[in-house]
Amino acid sequence: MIDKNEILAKIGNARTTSELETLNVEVMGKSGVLTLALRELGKMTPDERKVKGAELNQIKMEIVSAMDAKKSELELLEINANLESDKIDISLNKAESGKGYVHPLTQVREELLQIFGSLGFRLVSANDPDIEDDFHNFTALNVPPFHPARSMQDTFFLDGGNLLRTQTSSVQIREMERTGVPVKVITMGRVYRSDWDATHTPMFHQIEGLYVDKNINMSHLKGCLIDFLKAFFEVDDIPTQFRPSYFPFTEPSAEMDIRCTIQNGELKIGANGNRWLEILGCGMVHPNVLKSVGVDPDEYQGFAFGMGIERLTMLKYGISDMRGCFGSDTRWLSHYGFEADDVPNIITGLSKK
Amino acid sequence: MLFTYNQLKKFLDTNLTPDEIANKLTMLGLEIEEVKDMKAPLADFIVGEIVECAAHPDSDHLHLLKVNIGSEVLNVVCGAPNARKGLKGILARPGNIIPLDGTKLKKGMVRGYESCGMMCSEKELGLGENHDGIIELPGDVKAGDSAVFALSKIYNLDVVYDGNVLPNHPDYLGVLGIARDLAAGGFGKLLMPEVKEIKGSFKSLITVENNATKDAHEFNTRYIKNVKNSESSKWVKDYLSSVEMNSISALVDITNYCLHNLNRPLHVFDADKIKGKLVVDYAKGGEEFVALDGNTYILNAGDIVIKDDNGIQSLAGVMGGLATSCTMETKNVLLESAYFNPVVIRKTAKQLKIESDSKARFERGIDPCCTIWGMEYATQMILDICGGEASEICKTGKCEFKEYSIDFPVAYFAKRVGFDIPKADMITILSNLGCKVKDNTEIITVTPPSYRQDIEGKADITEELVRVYGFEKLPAISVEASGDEKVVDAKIVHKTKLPRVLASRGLIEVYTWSFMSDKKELDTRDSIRIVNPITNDLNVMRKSIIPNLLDGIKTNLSRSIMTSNLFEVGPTFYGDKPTEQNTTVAGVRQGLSGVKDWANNAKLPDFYDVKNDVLAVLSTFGVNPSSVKFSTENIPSWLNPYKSAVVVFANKVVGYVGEIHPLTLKKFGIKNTSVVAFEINLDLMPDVKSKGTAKKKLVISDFLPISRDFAVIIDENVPCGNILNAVKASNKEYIKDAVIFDIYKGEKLEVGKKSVAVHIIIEQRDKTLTEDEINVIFNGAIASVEKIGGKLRDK
Repeated sequence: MIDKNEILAKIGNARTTSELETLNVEVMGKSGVLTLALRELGKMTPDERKVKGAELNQIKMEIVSAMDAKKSELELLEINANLESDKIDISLNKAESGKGYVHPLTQVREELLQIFGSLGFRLVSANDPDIEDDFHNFTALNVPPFHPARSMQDTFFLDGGNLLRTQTSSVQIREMERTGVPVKVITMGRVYRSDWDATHTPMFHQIEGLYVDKNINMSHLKGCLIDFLKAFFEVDDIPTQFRPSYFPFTEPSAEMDIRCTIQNGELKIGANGNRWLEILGCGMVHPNVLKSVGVDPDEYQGFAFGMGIERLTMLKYGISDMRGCFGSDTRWLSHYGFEADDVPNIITGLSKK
Repeated sequence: MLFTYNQLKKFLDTNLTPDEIANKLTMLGLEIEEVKDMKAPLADFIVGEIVECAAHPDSDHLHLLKVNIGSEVLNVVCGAPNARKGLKGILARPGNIIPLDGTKLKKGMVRGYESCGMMCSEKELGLGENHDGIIELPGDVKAGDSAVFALSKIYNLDVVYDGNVLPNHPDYLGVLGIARDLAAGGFGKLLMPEVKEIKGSFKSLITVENNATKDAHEFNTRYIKNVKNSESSKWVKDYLSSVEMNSISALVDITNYCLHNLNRPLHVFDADKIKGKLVVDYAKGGEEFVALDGNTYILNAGDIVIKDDNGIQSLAGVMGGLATSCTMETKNVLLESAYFNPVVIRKTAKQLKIESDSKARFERGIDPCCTIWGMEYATQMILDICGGEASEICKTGKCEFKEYSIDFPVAYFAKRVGFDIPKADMITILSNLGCKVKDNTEIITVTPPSYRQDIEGKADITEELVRVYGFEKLPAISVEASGDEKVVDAKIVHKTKLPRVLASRGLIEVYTWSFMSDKKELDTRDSIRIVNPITNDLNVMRKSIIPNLLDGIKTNLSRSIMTSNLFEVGPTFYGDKPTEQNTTVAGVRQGLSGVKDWANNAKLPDFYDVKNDVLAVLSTFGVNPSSVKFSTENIPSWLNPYKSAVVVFANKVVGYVGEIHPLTLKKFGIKNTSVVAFEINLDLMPDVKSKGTAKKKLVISDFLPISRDFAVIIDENVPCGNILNAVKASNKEYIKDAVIFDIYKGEKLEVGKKSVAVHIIIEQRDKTLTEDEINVIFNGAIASVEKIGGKLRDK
């Protein structure tokens, strides 16, 4: 005879799913007590079978239901126990493999490209060599031999008599030789001057702009540069001052200052600033420069400007120490560098703030 | 150019304050970089009168003073020997900053006695060198007067400006020229110095012969006899010291005064030291000359020199000679006022590396028409200060300057600048600048003065007008894009993107010099040498970026930075002519890829990491990896020949990838680590193709792909890439991919053999393949490997 209560008690006492499974086999396996009891029904009379069958089926249902319930209960306990045994220390971090960065100069070059591109300037794509001849670096730019302006920049010379360009203005000549006028281009690249101290490096980068057409005048130059500075420094109101200056290849020549305060390396632009800060040089392309590339200066005229990209970078990003700029110290580079996905975009705002 | 406010006012009648002058000059084109007001540091000091002076009981030199400052009487302990009752001097009170050393004066006790201030010496107030005693003021100042007021009676408390003179404004190298520009700008009235003609009473006693009139256009001299040279007056000394010129003697100081104020270089010879006649001539080259600075110079042919019977006595326009220089004993003097070709002066000074105030002016172009005027001015000063008697002027050569005029269409100004100024204003401005102007209605004809030869054409006149009229009046007009410009053209669009591709692969971008040391070149042939390098270890143009990156690793290791994953995109050079350069990318990986931590993720980089970098670079340019060939032929010697490859694309070597050779690392001083690197010439990459933007249609089969593995034993020199190529080629239709999942070399195999396990993926395109069909494909793959020498290991 089956002792239902004993079985139900055993189910209730089962501690693991495997104990429960053993019990299941003992009761309902091929030779389990319940299986055997049900088998006995065949030997009974119909009346007996009816009564006993109903009774056994009732017992079976109760046992199955108890088994299922217990199984769910034990499974939950076991899963939880398993999870707990596999507990981790969430205070730990897993080291990322080294991150890459683009150099701040690359970031700023892309910003400059965004801005001047939106103003319709084309980036010169070739023919902008670092090694130059005397003609393109000096003579064509209205600096004849033994002109005092030659000593404004100390020049590196190569064995064969060529030199390292002292300014990107040489690209003005090459580009006008190549495409003629009208021309509206920017170029960015390395320039070289034999000068090395706290504020000078023997190599640095310049951006040069050139816009020559029939009616481009000095007011366009001023407007263009104010628009540029607003976009670059991302301020709506930027007090600027144009000041006379001298470059052999422009006439009139000017330098542009912005009103600002610099505190702890941080630039604050605004009318309440305490100083004028020189930011770039510019002017109307000298008629002699146009003549040197066969352009009639009475028909065509235009402007040119140039700025140091390192200087713009330092001012915008508060980098007071540029010693790391041409070095390989990854501490400097990853601190001042930019992540790969931080792409300057003039539509969504030039820089991540 | 240093100059002072008080001196400027000798040539300009103006009401502007010193600060206003600085601003106006900056806006006219003489950028004032510094304004130093000598009065400023004295503002808080006052006059104190000693009303009692007693000896300090515990000291043999200290005095106990009672000092009246008008409002009260203070106790002061003072050690100055000249302290005495009745003396009026300058008192510093607690809180005052002492100009000498910038310290703040504190109230103190000196040997038991209270001291509420300090009576100051000249040196303590920054007014001179005297520190022997305290300043003694004249009797007409009162206790409590401001120090500035009182000191102005005995000192020239001036404002000193430092202006940056640009090459187009040589006229700014004289105070008079600065005054003239301010007057032209409407900021005062020019006070032209009066110069009288001095009639000489005798003929100069020294004959002059000018054999170099081609470049020594004018060479004029005057003999002044019976002068008495001496130290200059305090006023002259103070003035010269404020503009940082040395006071030598009255005679020399007069020439320097004229140079600095009139922009007229002059020279004085001691006439008694000249032997025979003076000859102006060109040096032959090789002559020795001892200059005033005490240095001996070896002259070059073509230098203009002034010689006498004893030899060269002066380097024209640059520096006089020591042998004929004036001393305090000089009795007779020969004054020289000349004009030399600026180009020759510049060349001479540059070749000899010699600087002087005179040379700085001659080379930039002084007024060629002022030799006589300047000589008369200086003669008068010499006669006034040193006495003596002047000869007639002995002239050689003649002024070569010819007036020229420029037709300036009035409308040209607005066309070039974008706004208009009235013609009358144009004429006024140009006239005030010294130009002669003729009004021809639509055109004005402008004749620049001899001291403004930088005004050569219409553009220069425009500049004069706009700067004097005021740059602030320039309007701003925006420039807009027309919309059809191509900002970045096909040639460089990919180069622009490259840095971000490599940064996303964990590399950090650097910018290194375009030059490097010839000792570190990977290929020492055909070095591109810099004649005048900034330092000896930056003496050649780089032909590869890798050496600079290795230098970077070396420096980082020395700073305990143990990982350097660096790249640079920049120029490399293959010749010394313009355009003989490429745009190149190079990268290095060295050290663990991350911090060595509990999760053990950090790995050392190997060939395959940089090979992937190369493939990423090429794929940025749209190059399919299957069209890139990695070859082991002609591996350069700086790479490990067994762990490196030459990168070939479109039948051209485009770069290198691999492990840096240990000997190369040794040369760079890199120890205990390995470095993998790549370098690709980006100019050999394809341009952007003008193709559509649509991507190829994606086909995904509804039937699951099937995988099969096999292993072969093969000669260890057969590249695994060949095995994969063979497998893929064996059934292009069904074998979608194949990878090597194990390579074994070891004792279980014959020497020189390896076991390679291959995993293939068979695609079922449009139906489920039968076992037989699959076996055909699989066996075909195995057979293809057997064909290249593989032997099936076990199925």
